[in-house]
Amino acid sequence: MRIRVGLLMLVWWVGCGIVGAQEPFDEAVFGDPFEDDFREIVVDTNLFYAPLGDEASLFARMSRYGFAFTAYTPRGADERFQRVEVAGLELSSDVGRYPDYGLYSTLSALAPASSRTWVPVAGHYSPLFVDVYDVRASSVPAGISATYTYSERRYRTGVRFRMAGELGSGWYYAATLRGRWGADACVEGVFTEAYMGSLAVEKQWSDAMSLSLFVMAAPQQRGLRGWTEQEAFDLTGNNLYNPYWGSYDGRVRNARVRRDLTPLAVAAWSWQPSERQSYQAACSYRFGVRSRSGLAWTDASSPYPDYYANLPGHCDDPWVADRLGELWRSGDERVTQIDWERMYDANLFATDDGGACYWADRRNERIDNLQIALTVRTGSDFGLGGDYGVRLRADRSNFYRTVADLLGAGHAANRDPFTGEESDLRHPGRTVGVGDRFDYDYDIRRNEAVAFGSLHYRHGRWGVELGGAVAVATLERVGHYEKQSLSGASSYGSSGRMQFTPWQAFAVGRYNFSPSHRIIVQAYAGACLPHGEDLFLAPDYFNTTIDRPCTMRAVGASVDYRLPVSYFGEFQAAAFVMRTDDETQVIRYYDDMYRTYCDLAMTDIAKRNWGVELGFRANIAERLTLQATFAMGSYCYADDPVVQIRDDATHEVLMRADRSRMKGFVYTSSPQTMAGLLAEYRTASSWGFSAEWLWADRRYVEPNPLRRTERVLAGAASPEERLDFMRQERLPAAWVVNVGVTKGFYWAGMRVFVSLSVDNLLGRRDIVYGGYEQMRMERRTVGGRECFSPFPSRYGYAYPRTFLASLTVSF
Amino acid sequence: MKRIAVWLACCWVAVSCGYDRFDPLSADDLPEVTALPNADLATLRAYGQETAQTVAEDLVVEGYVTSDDRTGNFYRSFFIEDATGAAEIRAGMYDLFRYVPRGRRVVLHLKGLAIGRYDGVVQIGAYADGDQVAEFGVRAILDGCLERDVRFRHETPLRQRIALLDETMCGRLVRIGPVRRTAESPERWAQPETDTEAPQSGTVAFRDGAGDTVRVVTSGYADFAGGLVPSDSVTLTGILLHGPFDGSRTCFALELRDEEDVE
Repeated sequence: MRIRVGLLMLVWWVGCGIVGAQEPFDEAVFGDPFEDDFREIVVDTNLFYAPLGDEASLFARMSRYGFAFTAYTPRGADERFQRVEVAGLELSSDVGRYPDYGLYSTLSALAPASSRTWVPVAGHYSPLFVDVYDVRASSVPAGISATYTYSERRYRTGVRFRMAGELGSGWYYAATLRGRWGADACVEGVFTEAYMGSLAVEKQWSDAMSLSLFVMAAPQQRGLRGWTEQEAFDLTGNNLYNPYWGSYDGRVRNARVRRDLTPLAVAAWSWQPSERQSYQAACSYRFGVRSRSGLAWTDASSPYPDYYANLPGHCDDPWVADRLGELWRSGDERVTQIDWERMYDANLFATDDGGACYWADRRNERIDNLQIALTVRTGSDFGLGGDYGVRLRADRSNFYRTVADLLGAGHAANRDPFTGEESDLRHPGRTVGVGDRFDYDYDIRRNEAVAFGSLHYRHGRWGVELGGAVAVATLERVGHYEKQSLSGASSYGSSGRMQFTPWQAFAVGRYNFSPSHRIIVQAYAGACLPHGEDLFLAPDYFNTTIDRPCTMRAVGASVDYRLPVSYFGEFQAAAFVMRTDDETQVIRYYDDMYRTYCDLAMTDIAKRNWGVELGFRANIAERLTLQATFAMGSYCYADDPVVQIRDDATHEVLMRADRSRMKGFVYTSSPQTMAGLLAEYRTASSWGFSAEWLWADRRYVEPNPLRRTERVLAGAASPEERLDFMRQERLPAAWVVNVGVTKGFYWAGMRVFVSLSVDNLLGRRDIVYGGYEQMRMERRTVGGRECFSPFPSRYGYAYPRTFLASLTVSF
Repeated sequence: MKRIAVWLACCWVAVSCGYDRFDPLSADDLPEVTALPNADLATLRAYGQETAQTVAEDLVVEGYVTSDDRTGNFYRSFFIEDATGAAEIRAGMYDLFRYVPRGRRVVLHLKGLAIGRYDGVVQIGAYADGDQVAEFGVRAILDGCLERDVRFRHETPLRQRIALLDETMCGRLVRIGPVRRTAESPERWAQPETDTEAPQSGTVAFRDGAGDTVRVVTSGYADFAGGLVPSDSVTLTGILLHGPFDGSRTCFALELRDEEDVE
């Protein structure tokens, strides 16, 4: 019975995590509005089978889902350090800049088992953590369960069926079906339609050998939410204002909808001839298309209501600003939201040949990823062991843009919407209809071979592990369109293969003073493969690369100490330091000084982050537990990066090498000071109650490197305005109170579990989730001189009070 | 239990889907213009003769759009015309040819707006700003007083001899010809932007058989600014203006919409 209650409590605890998860916004950083195409945080986890023994610190557990009310990056570190593995295959190193959170959340929901570790796993190491998904059907306890969920965030209704068992003769199966649908209760325009299914089959030959097959598919689409200027929130009186939707034939239509249909298949063979020796071979194939819709227009004004010219704060004429402010405050949806009828009107009546001036587009990525991995584990009687293996992967991602809806027009032209130039000189004059490709079409191809290994030695209370990995990786762009602005090999065909040699070395030492009193020290160094979009100045269009493509170097260390406090508690402390160098980043944006679209290449980016994390847990009564955590750190640029600006259309160098004065600025919106208190109480009759308070401070808007270049600073009208460019806005401290109640019981021979969670109990609507500085600048003339001032930052707000209830039946 | 599972599965399929599925709209789905005019454009010449004037009455006028900014010769404004006269709407926006294409019927609610006069043309703007009327500046503000109909009618240009041009015709689409470019006039419509020179407006004089002269004024930002002015006899169609287009002397001038206005 105690085990069952423990399991139920675990379910509740993880369930709270689900409540805490928040849909991040469509735009998380400045610059390119499309950079965050596929971002989704892990919104779920393995509800029933998550193991407890993952050595998570109190702070790590609390922060994994708790800080959903603020932009949060673990330890402020580059997201490349968050590793996701399945049977030795690495699923986290994607072609794109952003982690594929959609894949992670799907795996989390569908994989038979998962765990997060902070120590090396089978030779794989990450300074942050490694999420390991187990696809063996036998890793799931046999049984059937069904869950119904009511949610107010992102979706309304969720249903899940899981079943697992043994078929006899060494055959095991595990299957999951899940659906989530409905409109967000708080944010207009946000919705989810997601259907997921997975099947895992395993054949075991005695205990030594097994063959597993895991397939999953998760077709889903989600309406997104955008960040905007504070003025729009103030004028609408709604901090959850979403500029992406508009009324369409009496219904809400979102212009930004993300779709994902990328099935994954994994086959894994494992053989363990002895207790100290095992072999594992795995192969995975992932394919399909993921995309995000948007609006395109040519020779017409922006249809987005929060475009700067549609906001009163950007109007020079006070009368116009006042009148426009009145219209915004009146709540007229033709002003505050996307006016779909206006776009239809223009297409129906204002074109000569039926060509579209407004249309909905879809930016697609067709994924084609094949991986093979072989992992060997060996051990010996005297404590020495080794893990080693190889991993091969081939990625071919086809990026292309399609017409999603012509909005009443007959066709669109395959021309650059901004310049009007031919998008594909090899097929000039082509017109496109719904579903046709236009504007760009290219592949990013990556091949990688990795050899990795580690040696570990345990002697008594001591343990040490030394390991490393070295890879050979090639990356190239292959353009399928020959652009008019840069024709020939500059845009068409292969860019040529760039070769990189990422590597990693780590050392982990451990000493156990007692079973619950121990210290772990880690040190690591390495070089990471740069992202494709940070190597090419404008990968959508051209083969031109940045001047000096290179890997990002990283070096760091951490120490983790745990100390039992008397018989009732435990104290935990961790400290970390990390430095990265030679990072590159390319931002595509409209430059108000050059009055054209530009590519800003930032190289020699150096960042350093350090911090401490403290935790204390006290079992102050048999059924009452209190936890307190505190973390403080610093996530800053360590030096001034080099900035080069080129004309996006011609790649003419407009600014050769300027230093952006970023040194000392915080590079992320993630809080640098956090604290949490959690109280849990369980009754003998399987009631569970919890209340937590979470606090985040020292948060800043993400800085924009353009503002801090000499060229821009020279454009300020006064020393005060120059300071405005340099100043980094600090976001107010944020805190929430969350509560939850659970009850487990038996009914008609079935285990029933009911939970209700309330996030942000006090209903605070003024919590800024995050923000970023825009690239645009206001231009005006002062004393006959053209001067510039920064655009206001864009923000997103956290959810107010929301409820999540679930009912699970298991038998 | 099986029944429950089947029931839930059916609910799953039945309740979901359709959040991003929309049928196309047609012209019939767009809002209709129901307001009726109670004044004609000619009556507006009584307003704002000396200085811009705010309309206090509940005046509603209609007109058909006669100009557009597709070629860049008209800047942030458009002209409407009815059987009695014409007016310029100082929209203060770009890409107006997508908003009010040529020939489109519009209905304008004038109460609270300002009417003024510039180059002989009745101008309608958001408010009175001294002698001038101010631009609306933002589409949302213009939408508040301007209704766009789905009806179209391309106004027939008013054919007139130069000698008979009258200031009350200003703002109307006028056709004049045959005329011939005067020898002393420049060979190009205007000075377009080049690597070394900023765009400059140009004035070209044309003379008819009776010896009367009319000017054609062209913006340096017009697509056809650098085009050659025909030296042959031509017929010109354009919006009629009356202002200081000949040095300090006021005279009549046409503002062309595109090169097809030269026949």
